[in-house]
Amino acid sequence: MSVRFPSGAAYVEALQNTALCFDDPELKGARVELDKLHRPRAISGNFASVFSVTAANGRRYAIKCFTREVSDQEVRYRAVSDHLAKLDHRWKVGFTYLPHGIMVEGRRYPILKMDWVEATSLTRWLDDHVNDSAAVARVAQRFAELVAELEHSGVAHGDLQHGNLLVVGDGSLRLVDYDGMYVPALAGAGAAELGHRNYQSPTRSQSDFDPTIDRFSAWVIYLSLVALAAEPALWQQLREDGGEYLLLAEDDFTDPMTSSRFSILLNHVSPDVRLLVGQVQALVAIPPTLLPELKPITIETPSTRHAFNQPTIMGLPAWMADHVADVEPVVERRFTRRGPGLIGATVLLAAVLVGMVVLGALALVGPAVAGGLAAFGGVLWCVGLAVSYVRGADAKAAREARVHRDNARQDQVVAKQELAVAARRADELADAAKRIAEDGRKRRQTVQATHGSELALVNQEHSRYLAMLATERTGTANQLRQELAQALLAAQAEHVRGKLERILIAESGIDGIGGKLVGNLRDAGIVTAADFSGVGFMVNGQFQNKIAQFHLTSGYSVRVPGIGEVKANRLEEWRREQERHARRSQPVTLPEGQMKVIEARFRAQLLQLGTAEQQAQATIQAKKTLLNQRLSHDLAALDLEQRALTAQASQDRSRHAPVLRKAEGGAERAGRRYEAAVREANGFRRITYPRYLVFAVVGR
Amino acid sequence: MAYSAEISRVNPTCFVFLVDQSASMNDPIGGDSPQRKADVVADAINRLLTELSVKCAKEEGVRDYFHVAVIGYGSSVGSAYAGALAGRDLVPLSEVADNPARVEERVKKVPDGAGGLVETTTRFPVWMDPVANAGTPMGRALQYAESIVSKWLVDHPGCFPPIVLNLTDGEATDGDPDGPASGIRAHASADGAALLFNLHVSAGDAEPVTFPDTDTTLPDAYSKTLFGMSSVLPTDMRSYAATQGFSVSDATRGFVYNADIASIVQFLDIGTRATDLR
Repeated sequence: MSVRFPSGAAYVEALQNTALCFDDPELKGARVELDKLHRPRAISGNFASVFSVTAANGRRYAIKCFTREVSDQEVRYRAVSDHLAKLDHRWKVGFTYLPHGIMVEGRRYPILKMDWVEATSLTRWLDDHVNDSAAVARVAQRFAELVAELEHSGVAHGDLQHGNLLVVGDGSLRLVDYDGMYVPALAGAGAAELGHRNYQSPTRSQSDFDPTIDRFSAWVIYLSLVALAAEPALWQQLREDGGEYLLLAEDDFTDPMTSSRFSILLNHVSPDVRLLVGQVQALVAIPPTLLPELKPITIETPSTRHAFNQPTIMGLPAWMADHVADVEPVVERRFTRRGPGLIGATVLLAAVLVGMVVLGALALVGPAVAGGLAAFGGVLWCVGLAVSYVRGADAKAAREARVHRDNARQDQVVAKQELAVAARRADELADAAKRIAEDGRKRRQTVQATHGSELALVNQEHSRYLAMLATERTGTANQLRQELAQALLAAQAEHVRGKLERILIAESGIDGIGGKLVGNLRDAGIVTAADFSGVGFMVNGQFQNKIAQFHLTSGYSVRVPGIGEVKANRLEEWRREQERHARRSQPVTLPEGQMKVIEARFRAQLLQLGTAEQQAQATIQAKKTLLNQRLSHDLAALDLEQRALTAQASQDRSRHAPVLRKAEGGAERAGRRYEAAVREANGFRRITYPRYLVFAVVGR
Repeated sequence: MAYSAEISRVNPTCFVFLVDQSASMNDPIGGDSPQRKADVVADAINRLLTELSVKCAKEEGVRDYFHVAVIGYGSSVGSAYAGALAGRDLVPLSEVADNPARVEERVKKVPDGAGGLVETTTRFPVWMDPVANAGTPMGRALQYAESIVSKWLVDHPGCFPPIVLNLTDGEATDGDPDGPASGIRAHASADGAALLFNLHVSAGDAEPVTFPDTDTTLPDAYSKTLFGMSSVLPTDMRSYAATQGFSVSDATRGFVYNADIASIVQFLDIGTRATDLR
């Protein structure tokens, strides 16, 4: 006799008084986490509800209360507990099985006292972190490690799924819910549960209970994680919000060929993931015990995928850096040598000036004449020196340097313009490449979204049609039931009639119904108990008495002379007694033959419905297959086109790269030439006409 | 296989509770209990709603695996929700869970485990108050439920079949309820026909009966009619009933006489595949 376990609500009620419901000294009087209504907050599965309980010493526990019986529960937990104690694995969560841990309505039931883990279930974690590809890749890798640990120690969890895989803050994984766990000591015990429907091989059965029972779900989870790490957008594309699965669900496993999720995954951007998807798709047909162990792959993320070398656009190429010469020190040019002409002219000027001063002082000439002559001498000197300066080597060199500088400046402006054009082109090409990638992504999403809505429509239509057939089936079944019931009623009536027919009134010795009345009854058509079905009375207004009327089986009512109210009632009572007696032996089921005849009539209808259902299944299969083929085709075509565009774009970019490099080199060189020319020109800063005049006088 | 559709947030199903609020519900229930039938039924509904909420509670809160209507029938036929949900038919379960009309503090004597009794206080959410007046328009109520179910099925043709649970003392005053009842059962999703279950609260003092497979043990014509109206339990529910210690057969129906019906919620599977329990 199995135990009837309390319901979730019964536990919620019991947990409102932990001093009463718990026996365990640590839990007695402990604080239970409450919900919005200030009642114990449950987290429920199909077999249990879990409550968060904090003991007086501050330790927090997850208390699991069972709502359904699990066969050999205590034995199982003990075996699991013993086995896990020997393992040094991080995924473990400590627990104690308390066989009489909680009292509900006066009866004690087992609980599981588990260490509380501050963690998030995998789907919720993915909701928040799916775009952090590095983190998803890490979780995938940790999951593969966890699976390897389980395999290595001969343990299988039995229900690997998003709700039992928790992600802790540091990114490590915890495995909870060991109800269905396999450990070597439980070999032969049979599975306590079959696991979440969206994670199991369609052929897994209760007799499958060995170290391999996790393999299918392990592949499914791992595939989902690595596919997401490389392509986070799949989280939105392959899932309906709130879906109780990762990227693949039950219908994908029962019908992998028409599964659009498989189709989309088979066109995944990463070739490694594509291979993995193919492997998982093939697992569906493999008997659970023959499934291969999970083989992890190198996990790609968008950043590792796009890490191929982008052409460098700005800055000097590395090889050039060594070739850039150091700046030479600037030589400042000066006037160096005074030639005899220059000295002569200056001496002559001095002589003229001195002469004029003397002549003026001696009043040999008028001061005006002296001044004029001196000025004339001065001007003559200046002009002479100007001619000498212009024709001199120094000034010529200075002029050349300045012209050179101006030319270099012009060259640099041109080179800079060329570089700007080349850089703009490079930017355009980079933008174009980005646009191509973005467009590709969008088009891919559009194709998938369109497919998704078409598929939803097909499914919806199919469900509607099936619902209609189910309605018809129910109607037909109801009709069948009704007809069978009516036929039974008819058969019973027939049986009763047959019995009553054989009971003659004349032979029944009914009190007060003598030979004369029997004769009157016979005249009215009433000979046996079957000839009337009841009596009624008409009130005769004139005599204030009741006149009896016999209801004949033909439907007519007749009066029988000599039979009044009392005798009529007596006859009716007699008839009823006979009927009751006859009923006792009436058939309770229809004769086999008759039942078959009726059922045969409906069988045709039901068969037709069955055929219609099968046809509907075939039609939707065909439709889904077609949709999938189109999806695969569209995605492949898109991929091809995308690859061509990407190739063209990167070719354009690599073709432009030398142009850009050349422009950069040109600009760089022009810049350096200009700088050198400026330096050179600056060296002639002192080579000017006024300084030449000074130089002519003082020699420096 | 019928009755195997996943119940999920993506593919929810609906629950319609029908509550008899006729004058006869003022009578006490049979057996030793002095409770009024109306109180028994209101408590049953409030417990069922609690049960559903707890069953669907996950770490982030109650999930909308079900949409739930509570329809009363007495002086009129319509929503029996009190408080914030008043006047509404189908309400998503998360909203139901968060919005009882009030939470009562109920003092209860419970076994202390050592042979004695001890008084304890529990918080009991109340969505519906007991009402008892006028006739018993059960036929109209069933038709009302049928319209809810058929509307639901238009939008959710692939769902686990809707469940209608009728709580009554069985004395319909608007004709034979069998016709409208089969009207409900005639609706189907792709996963099977809608289910109609009945709880009969009676003043009779016959033995309580839970999930019978024949009406021969039932005490009166009302219970026989209600039994006849009730759907046969689907295979998986039957298996769970068996593991809970009920004796079942292929003909076991979703019918309960003067006993607890909240356990029906425990028979529903969410997520996990049904084990092949024998």
